[in-house]
Amino acid sequence: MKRVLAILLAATMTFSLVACGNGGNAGAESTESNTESTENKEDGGAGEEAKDETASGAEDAGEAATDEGAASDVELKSFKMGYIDNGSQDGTTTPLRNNLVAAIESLGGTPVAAQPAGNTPDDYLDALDTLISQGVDGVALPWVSFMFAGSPAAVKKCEDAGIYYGFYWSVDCETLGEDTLSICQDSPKFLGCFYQQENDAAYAAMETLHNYDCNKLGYIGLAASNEMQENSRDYGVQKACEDFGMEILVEQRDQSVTMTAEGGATTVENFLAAYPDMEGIVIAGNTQFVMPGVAQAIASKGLTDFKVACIDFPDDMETYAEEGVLVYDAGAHVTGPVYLTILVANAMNGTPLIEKGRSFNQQYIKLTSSEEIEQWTAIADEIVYNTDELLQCLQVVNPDFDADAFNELVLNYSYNDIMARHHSE
Amino acid sequence: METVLLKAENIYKTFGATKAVTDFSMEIRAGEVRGLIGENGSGKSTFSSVVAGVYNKDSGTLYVNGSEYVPHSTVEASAHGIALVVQEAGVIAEISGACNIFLNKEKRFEDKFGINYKKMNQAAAEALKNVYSGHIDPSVKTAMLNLEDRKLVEIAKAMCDKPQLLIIDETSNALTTRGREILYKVIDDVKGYGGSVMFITHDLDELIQVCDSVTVMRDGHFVATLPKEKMAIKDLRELMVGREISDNYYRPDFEKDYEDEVVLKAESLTAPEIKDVTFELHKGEILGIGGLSDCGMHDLGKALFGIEKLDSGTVTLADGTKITNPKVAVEKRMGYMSKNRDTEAIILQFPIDDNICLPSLARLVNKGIIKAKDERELAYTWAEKLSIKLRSIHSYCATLSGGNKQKVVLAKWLGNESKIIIMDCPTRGIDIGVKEAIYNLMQELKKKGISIIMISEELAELIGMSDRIMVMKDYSISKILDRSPELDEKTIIEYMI
Amino acid sequence: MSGKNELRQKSAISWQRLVLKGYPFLILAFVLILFGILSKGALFAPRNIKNVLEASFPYLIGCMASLFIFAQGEQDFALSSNIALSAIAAAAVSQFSAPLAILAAMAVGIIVGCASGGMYAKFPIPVFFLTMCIGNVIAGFLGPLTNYQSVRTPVSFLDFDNAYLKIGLAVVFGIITWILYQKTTYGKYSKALGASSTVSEQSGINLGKYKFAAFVVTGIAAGIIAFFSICKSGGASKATGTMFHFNVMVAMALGGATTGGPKVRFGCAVLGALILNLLTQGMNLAMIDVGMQNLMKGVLFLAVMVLTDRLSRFDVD
Repeated sequence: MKRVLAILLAATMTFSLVACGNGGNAGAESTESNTESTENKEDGGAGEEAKDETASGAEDAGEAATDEGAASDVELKSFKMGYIDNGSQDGTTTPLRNNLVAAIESLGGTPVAAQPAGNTPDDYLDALDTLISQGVDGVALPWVSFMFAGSPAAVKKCEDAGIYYGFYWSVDCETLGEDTLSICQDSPKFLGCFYQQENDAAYAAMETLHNYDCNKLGYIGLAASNEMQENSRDYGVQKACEDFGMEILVEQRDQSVTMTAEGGATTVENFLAAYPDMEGIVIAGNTQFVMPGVAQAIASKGLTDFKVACIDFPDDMETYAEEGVLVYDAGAHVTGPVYLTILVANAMNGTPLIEKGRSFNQQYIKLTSSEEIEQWTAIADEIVYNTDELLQCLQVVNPDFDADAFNELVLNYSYNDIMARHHSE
Repeated sequence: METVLLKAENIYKTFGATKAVTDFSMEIRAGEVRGLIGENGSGKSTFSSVVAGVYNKDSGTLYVNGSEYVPHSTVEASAHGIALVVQEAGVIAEISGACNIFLNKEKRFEDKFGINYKKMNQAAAEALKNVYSGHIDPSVKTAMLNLEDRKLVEIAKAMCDKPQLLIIDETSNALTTRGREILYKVIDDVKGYGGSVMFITHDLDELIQVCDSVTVMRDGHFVATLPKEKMAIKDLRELMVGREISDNYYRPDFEKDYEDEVVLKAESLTAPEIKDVTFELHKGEILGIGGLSDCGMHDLGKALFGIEKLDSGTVTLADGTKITNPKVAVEKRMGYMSKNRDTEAIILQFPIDDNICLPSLARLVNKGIIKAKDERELAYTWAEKLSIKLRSIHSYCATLSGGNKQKVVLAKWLGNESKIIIMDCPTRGIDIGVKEAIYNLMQELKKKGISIIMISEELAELIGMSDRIMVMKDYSISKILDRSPELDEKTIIEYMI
Repeated sequence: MSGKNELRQKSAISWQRLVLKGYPFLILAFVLILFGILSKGALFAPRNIKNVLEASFPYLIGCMASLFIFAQGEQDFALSSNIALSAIAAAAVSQFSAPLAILAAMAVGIIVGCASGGMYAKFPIPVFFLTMCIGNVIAGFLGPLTNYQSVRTPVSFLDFDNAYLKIGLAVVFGIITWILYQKTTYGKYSKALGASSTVSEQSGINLGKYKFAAFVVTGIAAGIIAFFSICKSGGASKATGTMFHFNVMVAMALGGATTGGPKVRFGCAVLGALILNLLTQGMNLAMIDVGMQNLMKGVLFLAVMVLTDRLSRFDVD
């Protein structure tokens, strides 16, 4: 019996150490549970995040003085903001996570993460259940992980739990579908959908390839919809083919293949084996997983005129651009959850910005040359909105910040906007 | 015979609450052939397994050549020059004889290309020749050999490194006369080079013939060690059982006392090892079937029960039902006691009550449900009737001695109200106490009108118990002999070979 | 001296047999205590207990149905694919009516179960191999069948994703399975088959029938699990039910069923399913990431297998 107890205690200690080690990394709950003043938060925000280091000195002098004066008197309501973190570390999910955690903490909240066991809608629904069971007040949901099938269930869970929720990486509200809308459209808890102009981004990708004389293409993307939506990457690709006389020779949409670099490499080899006259590839989904393999396969075949255009930023984007492989990328659509957090924070502080959920046009950062890619890479790791800027998005701090101001904030997101705010001289 | 080769002091071994060996001590000298006897459950196989490294003893000390000996495995025992030949199958059927003989010793035949099987086969052929079994091809898969040849491969394996102590655990049961002769020669060879033999057998005649001395065990304890000159069968029996045993436990009667009613008809049965066998079984009859071990009688038993498929011919019961598979046979109240008791007749890792009730479950169903009460009732009834020595009716059958396991098998079929029971070697590997009980039971069943087909390799048993004896030779019936006081082994052997 | 020895032996054997027979309860206690502490008591909140029971539903159904196969010493590696196919079939007809969807799920589940069981009964192919192949065949055509996307269900189906309905159904299914397993020839013969097919055959058991029946039961379970899966997630895809059979295997091991035959008790299924889901929920609440969760589940599974192997020699009664 002594031996059994000793083993149990040792195992308990081991598991505790593991849990403590992982709890911090996954955006663990803060120990502060009471309301806190913005003064404390300002101090915390300026000092604690290494990610903020390049942004701190660039505030407008006049506005800052007024903000500081107003902010210090306001006590912010604390809240728990949940998000689903699949644990990826790549050019899209890393900045999304960093920006979101910084935003939540800046606005007086506590980030709560849940990791899905896999990539199916079921896994994401289970992760949502975990967030709800941890008592979150609001949650940012990646629509693309639920899709049309899973979003009604996700929405129903949020409604039943009485928490604020909204979608990012989404379609617009009208396209959500009757099933989902029937549950959420009149709900004050539904914050809306942050969608991208997918067709524009895809059209621009195709146009860039056309400008490089790459007109016979392979396509790597997500599963095809039964009905092609107008605001979809497929639609943009199709339109570009019609307008520029381009041709998609072959497609690879199997997620089990396009979720890995090996799959990317194999796909390129198979493409080229079947279509030796292929001139380029457009990657319209799972870029962060598949691009390393694609680039490696192209390099190994020594194809210097073969070009790739992507949607979503992969890691090492600048390397591919330097090598001349990557000629276009649209991505950095990572601020959707930040905007949802702003909406939740305002609602929790008693000043909701919107009465019911709406569609918000989340901007892509479109990079159409290797110079632009390099410029972006230099600031890619920065936090897009620092603490002061975020606090100005709370009506309790800045009474002028209303729904129109919020909409403008969302639409203004661009490389120039970030440069103007953080790097103006 | 001066040096003590093996010394055991105060050996204890338990399995759960079962005390298999209790405070057992003995010595074997170099060059001695020591018999080890006892009833089933007396602890002799357990003790020999402890010496051979199969089990770890709970306490006590073993010495080999004066040094303490603590084997944790058969490999360690082998390294100390101790080899074991077991009662049941001790070779791996799916590999060749050579691989079996040199199992765990393959390194001897390694060259730069790996294992040199040609060399191994040659060495195996030599090892088989040394045990007078040169007729066996060592390169052939052991599954292709008959049971006796497999046992000879096992003996060759034990002997290949000239063990100091050869332990033979009830091996002679599985051997024919020829096989036994080979075994006795091997024992002589061991003595010849100064090694010793621990010989476990139930055959007391064989024991007296082969051994220099004998140790008797009972209920896990040491009873006595007798030198050759004091070994008398009657005394040995009494020491084993702890009470007086009469010499004759077979049927005393010789009149025909079975009915004319035919309960089973076998017509022109033909299969790979059965040639055109036709006979009838009567109500209340004990029909003995005898012959050499590979004459086809064991296959016939299986075919009668529907286990082996026939190429042609039919097995028909009195009501016209043709027996084509065991399910039909059981439904029609037939039973089959396989000679491979532990692997075919009972489930060792099943409780005793579940084993007893297994063929009867379909009968016990009442509105789709089997009540635990009904199962318990059936199991207890037959456990008591057959005086099965058990700790609990829920104990696993693995905890029982061989004789009690056989009683469980019998209980199984009697519990299903079997009217015809096929018994294949019903007293194989069983001590005389249980043997007597089984013979008495057979006579009782006969009186109740239950018909028995008894397949046996023991001529005395066939003569002693059967109403008729069907002698088989080369897969067909050689002769059917009626019970009579004049019938002797010589007569039967004439029809067997 | 020998008396003291004997007493010590008896006691030593006792704790080992106790652990062997009771280790699922030890694991349950360990999980409850450890993750109760790590989650700061959140694990015991009524909402989380309800979540655990609800999340246990498919595994309770799956494990209880798998008892017959486990008792026979086998496993159904086609279970995951069966669930996926049944779910897709149900989702495909869900637009017409819920009863039709239920029927479709059950029908497909049973057909796949019959195919597996039929082949197992008829051909001497190892079940591991057979069901892996069947599972792969099904998985192979699911992608093209669905065009690699989800087949959606009407939003009204979300109403069936009700914790109380599921828990109630699990209880009813449990009662039926318990009766079949403990009180009928289906369960008893399955255990006998698992212990020794030779003895079973020679005792008059129609082996083919019970081999077949075991897979039909898992087919029925696959249908039930599939229907509730589409109700929960709003649709089905080729990824539905992924790794389900593996989780059933882990759950059964945690519940005490590491070998076949009579040692596969009904309680193994219930306890195992609950332990698995408590473990998952506990680790989620303790913020342990998924990679580490899988590692810990794997280590626990291995530890259970080693423990039961080492202690099995004490299981003599």
